[in-house]
Amino acid sequence: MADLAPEDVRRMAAAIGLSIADDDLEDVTFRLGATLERLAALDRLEPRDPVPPAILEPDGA
Amino acid sequence: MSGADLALLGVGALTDLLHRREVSSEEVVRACLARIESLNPKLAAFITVSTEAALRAARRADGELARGRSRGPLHGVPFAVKDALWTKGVRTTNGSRLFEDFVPSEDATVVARLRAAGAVLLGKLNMMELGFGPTLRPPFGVPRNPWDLERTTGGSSSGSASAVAARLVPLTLGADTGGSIRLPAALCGVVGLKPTRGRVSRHGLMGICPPFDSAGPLAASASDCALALAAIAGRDRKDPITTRVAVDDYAGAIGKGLGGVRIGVVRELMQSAMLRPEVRALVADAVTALEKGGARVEEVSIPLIDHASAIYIAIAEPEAAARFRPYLLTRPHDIDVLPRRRLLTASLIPASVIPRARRLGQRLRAQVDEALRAVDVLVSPTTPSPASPIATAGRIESKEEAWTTAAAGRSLFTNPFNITGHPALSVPCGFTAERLPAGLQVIGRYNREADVLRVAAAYESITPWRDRRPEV
Repeated sequence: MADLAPEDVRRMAAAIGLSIADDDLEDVTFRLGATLERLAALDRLEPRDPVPPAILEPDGA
Repeated sequence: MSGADLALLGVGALTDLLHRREVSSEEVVRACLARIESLNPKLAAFITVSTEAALRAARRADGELARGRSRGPLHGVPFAVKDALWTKGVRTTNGSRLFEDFVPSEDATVVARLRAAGAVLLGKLNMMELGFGPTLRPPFGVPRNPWDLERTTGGSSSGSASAVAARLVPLTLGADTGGSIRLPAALCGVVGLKPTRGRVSRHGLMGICPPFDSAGPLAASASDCALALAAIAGRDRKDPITTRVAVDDYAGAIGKGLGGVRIGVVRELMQSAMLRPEVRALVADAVTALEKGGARVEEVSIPLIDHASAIYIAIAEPEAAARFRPYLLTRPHDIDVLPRRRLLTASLIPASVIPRARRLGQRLRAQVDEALRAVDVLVSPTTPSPASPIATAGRIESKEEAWTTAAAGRSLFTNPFNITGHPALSVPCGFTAERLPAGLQVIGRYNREADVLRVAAAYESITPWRDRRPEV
């Protein structure tokens, strides 16, 4: 996972209407990077389903 | 007995004196108020002290006892509550300037039940801001650990623990989402209980993450916690997740000893790289004492517990972000720098992690249930380390520091049991070389608080820790 840059984090926050003050930005960047790395590890704890889901056509075919 | 001595007594001793009419509730309340006036400036345990209302309630309690009417063992006993719990007519700040003028029009259910049991509310207790700690500059004073005033109390139920440790009040209520009753209980050397999910009403609790939030008692002993739990537990139609399971005889479980009790030591938590060696040694000594006291001890494994902090954060942090988003948008500078940064981070966690985390949380619960098939209770350390020095700077300088100090480090032994909902309690288990308390966590099956309290009380009876208190 690539490290987040502070400006990435600022833009992510802006996209959901939040502004991050300059004083908070570096701290939040470190926190978010650490959190996303640990959360990514949860992906490996669930088995992948080997059978892809069936896709139904609108007319039921 | 002097007035000053009355404030040092626990709930059980006060109950006896009050019901024999050897002391009055008013005398007890005045003793506590005097001690609060003397020590609170140093400790910042209380945010609000309701002196006149407490004295009126104490006189009412005395009048009822004089007419032969007792509401139960808590009749006339003083208590205080975390400032995250509504109290009718008494401001409830949630530890934040955001709510400094909020005055609820009703009591939280747990407060109402303690009042109905005859207990006397003394006031509202300090806490980490919004329950989302730590707080760098707490707006209502820096809570200090009575064992070392330069150390933290832990949190977020900071004052709920320190007030009991310093004997300002014999009984408090806290709230626990990831460990916020058990952590400060361990760091302040008192007993703190997080009940089973749904055992105690959350109505009127200003929490963080409703699936994990729980109110619970803190006191100097397991038996005092048992008395409090009996008063607050039970179905509440105002909180739909409260269980219809009958409230157990918690006081009856005290004094049953350890004979026949099977205890599982959680391997992954005892072997955690985050666990300070001297805390590990104290917990190991506690396990030895339990075995010598008659329990059968074995090691159990809960493999998913190593990922519990990540699971917890994936579920709890977005809940908190959603709850406090209006304030992040409109009043960010009225939130302390540390919870503000944590909320901003939480706001950016992708929603797609939540369903997986919930499924893993269910698997974690299944593993804990499985471990509890072979034993009656589990034990672990409550915290990885004792109380740390009060922080003076909030800067994080690396991702590693961000995870260990800001996220997982504090609550990695407690938050698994918020995810799973099992009852969990911290009981003092000794002191470090720096004379700081450490806690043993005892975890039980769903709705088996009686087993947890039984083991904690039995442990207290065979060790000297319950009678130690700080010289403040």
